[in-house]
Amino acid sequence: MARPEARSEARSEGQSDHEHAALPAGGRARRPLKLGAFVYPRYDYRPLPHPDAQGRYSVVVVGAGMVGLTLAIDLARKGVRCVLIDDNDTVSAGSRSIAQARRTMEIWSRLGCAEPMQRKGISWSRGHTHHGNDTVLSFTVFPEGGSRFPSFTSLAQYYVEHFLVERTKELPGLDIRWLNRLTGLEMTADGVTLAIDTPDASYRIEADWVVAADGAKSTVRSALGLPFTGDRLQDKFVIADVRCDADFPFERNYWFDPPFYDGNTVLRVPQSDSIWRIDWQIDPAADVERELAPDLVQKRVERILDGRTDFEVEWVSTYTSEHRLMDNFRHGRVFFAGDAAHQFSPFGGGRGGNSGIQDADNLAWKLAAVVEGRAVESLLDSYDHERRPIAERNLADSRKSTEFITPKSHHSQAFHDAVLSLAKVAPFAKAYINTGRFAVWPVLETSPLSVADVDDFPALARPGTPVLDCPLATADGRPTWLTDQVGDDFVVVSYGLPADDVAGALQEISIPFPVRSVAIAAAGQAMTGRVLSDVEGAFARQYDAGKGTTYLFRPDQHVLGRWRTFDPQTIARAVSQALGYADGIEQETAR
Amino acid sequence: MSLRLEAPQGFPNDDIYEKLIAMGLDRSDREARQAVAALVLLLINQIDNLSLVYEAIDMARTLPSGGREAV
Repeated sequence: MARPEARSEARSEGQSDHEHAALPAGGRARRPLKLGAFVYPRYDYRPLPHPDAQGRYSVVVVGAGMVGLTLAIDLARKGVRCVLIDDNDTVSAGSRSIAQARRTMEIWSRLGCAEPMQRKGISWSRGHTHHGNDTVLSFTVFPEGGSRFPSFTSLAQYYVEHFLVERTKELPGLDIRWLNRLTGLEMTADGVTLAIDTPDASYRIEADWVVAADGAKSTVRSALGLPFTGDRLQDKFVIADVRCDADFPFERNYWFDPPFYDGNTVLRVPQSDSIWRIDWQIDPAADVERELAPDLVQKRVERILDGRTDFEVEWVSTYTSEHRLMDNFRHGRVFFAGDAAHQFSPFGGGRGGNSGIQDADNLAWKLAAVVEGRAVESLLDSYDHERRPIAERNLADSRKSTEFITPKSHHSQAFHDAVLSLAKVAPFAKAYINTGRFAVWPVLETSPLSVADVDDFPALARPGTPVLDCPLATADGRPTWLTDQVGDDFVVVSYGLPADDVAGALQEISIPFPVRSVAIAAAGQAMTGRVLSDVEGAFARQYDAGKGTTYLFRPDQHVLGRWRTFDPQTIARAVSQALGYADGIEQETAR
Repeated sequence: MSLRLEAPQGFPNDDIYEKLIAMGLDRSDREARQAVAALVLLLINQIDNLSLVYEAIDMARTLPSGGREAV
């Protein structure tokens, strides 16, 4: 049985080197007991032997961080027999991944988790970048039209995980095993055997498939001896969650060469519960223990908070950026998701956590389809084909931000300085200031599943695009959203066609996967059957829809294909091919 | 005609910046400075309006110094 080289933390989504919290000593892995208004839960450990401990499962997910929880919830909702193990019994320490992107919230909405997150999270819309005493860039994050969620929601990772765990309690089929630590793993052509330690005993379970969502220091990856290629940068940062009731505007502030700190950069971002995320760069050669000493941290935070002293440092840690990528996100029966598969700089615009959630979203329906016998196993290869190019783009963008923030040479420093100086007098230079771009919309450009356009369409909403949400209304006038209508099944969205005709035609075709129909019509158009009204015309605009336009959405809400006319056989062929039946519906019908 | 200081629409700033930084990769400081100077001269050679060139030189020369001492 392959064993990991060293024990690693199952929920290491961040890149923490050291961690301190304002709490009594003695807790496992320095987990805080309380952070601001958030009280750390202790989830129940079930001592062995319990009747379900051993046996064979369809899927074992390793790591109950935000990625592992999301994936396990999705699988459980789809009826897949799934075990989720984690070597801890609570949620992540510190705020960590705080920028939850709109797409991420849409995924959690599909899983029934978004509502409490939306209530608890906050959103800021203004940001400023300063150079010395000058403000060189101010920007507004305009609310994106057509979505119920803002561009991102600021919500600490511990809250996210807490709400996800709460959701798991509504899914009796999901078996979460806290304080269960993976110690070894053996993979054959038919399955995977996992060796697990608990506080009481060790045991083994077998799985058809394993998903490693166990963070950047993945135990699974280590056990399989797989490389995680990339580099670790020299730059070091202190990161702190600080509770302060100051009436600072809810704005992001980023300083280069701040007048109040003898270091290169400082970041201050608001969170909920009056918590401020504050990062400051320290000398790479600095004594980290000294940098985390309460008196020094207190002094620095005081200056960053404009001299205020009425604050409490709730959690403080250091991190060093790493850029790493696996060469394949699938190795036999094991899949890698989130930080276990790719690692970006935290200044990458919230790419780490968000792309991990997209990984889970992409993988869950495919695993479920294969487990249920509705898809050919080769469908699972598309997980790597679709998600790794996105990770590569995120990695490249993350490197660009990191290079601007922390130049690595005199040459790079000169451009950095020139841009910041020029930005004070020449507006064009502001566009070069890069303190972290928002992650690109995760279009699956290289998807082997997508059906290439045969009709004339604009690029927006092209195959591979995640659903572009828009407000709709039911026949009796109740508001709804497109994201509520698509997902979990393949969904045909037709425009301006009689709902019953489309639904009836789809019932006639033979496909080994549910295909639902959603009919949309222009506002004011006479509607018969279950037709949704495009109340603001947003669907017609975003999808360039005219009478007969038909979109086919995948279970993860990405566009699979689109046509100017509705043809059930075309739909059947697209779905069958996506599920891995190479010859399409004819082949499948013959099976 | 005076110096354009507004950003053109859709300009690929991050890609351009990346290429500029890549000019200095695996080069000594002197080589990197030489490459930047060569780039400036090449670009000036594309501009017919010399008054723009002089204006740009003037602006660059009088910019406030940027940041702390270089790495």
